[in-house]
Amino acid sequence: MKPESAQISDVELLHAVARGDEVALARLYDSYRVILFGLMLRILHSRQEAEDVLQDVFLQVWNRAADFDESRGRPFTWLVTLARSRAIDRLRALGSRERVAQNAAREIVEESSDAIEDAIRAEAGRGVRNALQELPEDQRYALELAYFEGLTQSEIASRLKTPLGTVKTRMRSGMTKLRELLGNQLKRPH
Amino acid sequence: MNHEDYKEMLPLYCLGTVEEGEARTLELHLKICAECSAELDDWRDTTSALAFAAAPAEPARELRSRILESIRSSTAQVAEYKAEESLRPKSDPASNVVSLPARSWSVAQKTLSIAASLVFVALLASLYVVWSRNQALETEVARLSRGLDEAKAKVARLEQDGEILSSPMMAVATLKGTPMAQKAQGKLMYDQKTGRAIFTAANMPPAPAGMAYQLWYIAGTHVMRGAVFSADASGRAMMHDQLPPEAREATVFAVTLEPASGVDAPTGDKYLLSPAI
Repeated sequence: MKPESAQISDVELLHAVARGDEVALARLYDSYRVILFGLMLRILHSRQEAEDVLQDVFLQVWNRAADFDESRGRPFTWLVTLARSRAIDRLRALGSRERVAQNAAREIVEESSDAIEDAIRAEAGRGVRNALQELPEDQRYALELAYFEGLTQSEIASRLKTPLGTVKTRMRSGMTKLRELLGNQLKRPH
Repeated sequence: MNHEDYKEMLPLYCLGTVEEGEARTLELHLKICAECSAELDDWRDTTSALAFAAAPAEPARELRSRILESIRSSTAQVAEYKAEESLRPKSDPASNVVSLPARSWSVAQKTLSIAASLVFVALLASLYVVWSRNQALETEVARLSRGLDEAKAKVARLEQDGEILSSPMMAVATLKGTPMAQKAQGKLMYDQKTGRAIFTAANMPPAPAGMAYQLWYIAGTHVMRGAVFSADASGRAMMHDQLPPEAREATVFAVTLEPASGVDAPTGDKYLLSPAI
């Protein structure tokens, strides 16, 4: 997560994008490309697909920035929600998730450029990663199946060979714990 | 489903794991429930944090310029279209002397534009109809949902009554009117195991303002207070009560007239009394 002062500036950047400011879009891209591309890659397992979708996401940001309403959420949440939704749509369009997962060479992120190191260091995201690590393994796994593979709760139940009720409880508890752990980090600037 | 059920669904909805049908129902609820809608925004923040579970990765360097080029070309296309629109010759009322095909085109154009306007107006009208129908449906859903909650509460109460009446440990006491209300009668049905009770009464005289009837359980010399109730205009009353364990041993039941807030020991006249069991 970004510090509060940066949050305010991201809101301003989104407003500027809505007015057609190309530089503002470039700055948003510079700030978020690493986290968003990581997300795309984790969902799609293909650099080519991930880059296509990321391009698509920023085109959407360009066209839909006016829809962003800061009273309802943070810029980070808006961007990530948009990006994740586009990536899951692409995953579904690509057909069987299994086929994508098995056939696409699982491209390991070899680069460890300064930009990544910077992003990891500078981001309060470290706190979020720590919070995720604190979740019980079974809860975190269920959440990740839902978030990165776009599976419904019944699909997760059948994948884990676990009763549906248990899966729902596990995900709900995981989300509640995550919300508690993240606490102040998720407080919106008002 | 009630408000609490919907509220519970919110984190799973944010994760996108809720099945299609349930998701549609929740979306209807979100339109009419500000509390759930605000909570959904909070859950979205939590959900977006999951993005950090993915390893950060650097996209190809040229992607940035590709994106900027694509937005430029999309902007240019829009600008070009607007420019073409402004260059297109406008119909000139002074230039009436035009060739036949041009005139017939102009007639066709007029007809087309009238038709287009009509279609547009029709579209607007149907949009309004759809919108108002949607509003009406939302109100109806909210009303039905409230009705459903009330019905559920009634069913729960009836089930509870059923449990009392079908219990093998059910006991019944009949109460008769005293000289204060000779026609009055009452019946107490209770489960000796759980202490849950239903009390009904008929022909009760109207209680004066600030006063109400109170039920008493009497075991030997031990008098235990029961619930307070009032009768309707026709003198009928029905209420539920929970008997403390000692009251389940009671052999006498009575109803007195007391202050409406109830008292710990009977002070008023007896209106109903059971014969000692």
